[in-house]
Amino acid sequence: MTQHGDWLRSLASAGKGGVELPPIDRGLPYELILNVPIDVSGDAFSASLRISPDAAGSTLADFAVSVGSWDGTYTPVTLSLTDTQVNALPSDDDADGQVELVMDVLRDPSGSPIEYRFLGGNIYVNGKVTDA
Amino acid sequence: MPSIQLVLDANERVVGFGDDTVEAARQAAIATSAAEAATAIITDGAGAFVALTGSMTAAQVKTALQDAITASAGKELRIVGTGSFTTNSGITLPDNTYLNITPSVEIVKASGQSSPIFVNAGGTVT
Repeated sequence: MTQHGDWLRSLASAGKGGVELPPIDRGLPYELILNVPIDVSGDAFSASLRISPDAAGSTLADFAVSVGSWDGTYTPVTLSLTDTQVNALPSDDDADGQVELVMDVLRDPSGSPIEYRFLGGNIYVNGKVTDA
Repeated sequence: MPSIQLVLDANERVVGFGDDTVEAARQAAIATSAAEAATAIITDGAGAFVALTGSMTAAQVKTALQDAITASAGKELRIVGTGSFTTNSGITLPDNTYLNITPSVEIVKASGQSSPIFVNAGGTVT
């Protein structure tokens, strides 16, 4: 059960996602590809994790972002974390095997002076079993 | 590796997600229809356009509807909605139920639909 229902609903209403994103598996690198159905190949994106929206201090992790080429249908935007980054994320403290985090993706369109929140949502870190 | 197909509207807002190409195409078609409908209405000056989602609070639904009604100035008001809606007066719309607010205003939610629903002037769900 998410701790950030109001925030997620607000994002959804604003056309900025507000959904649960594919989970992160502790101990392993993480990669998420956003297939954007317009040509954003010239745009810049950034994405980060926090324990909650507006949580104080620096972000828990910043995704490496790679923007691919427009293939006429999608432009792939790949967000990735190394296994070192994943393992440094907060640990489960209630023995349910999960830690809830929030993330968002900012888009800085090419030629535009305005950077804005493109997508946001919550994301769970699932505890590991097998050592990688 | 997980991937998500985003569906954007004409304003490049994220209005849907698809886990595969077919779903993405389906949602893209819906989003395109909504965008075209909104553009047509605004361009024609025939009325207003309002988008609702089931995640909006009752107060937000009321505000959005009131703003749209005011903007429509008595002309056609077209509504695009996702999910079920509860008005601030406590009216909840179950599946397949039409709500006529004033002569040409309707909110419709079809059974099982979670994608945007488009209400034509005659109340046809497309």
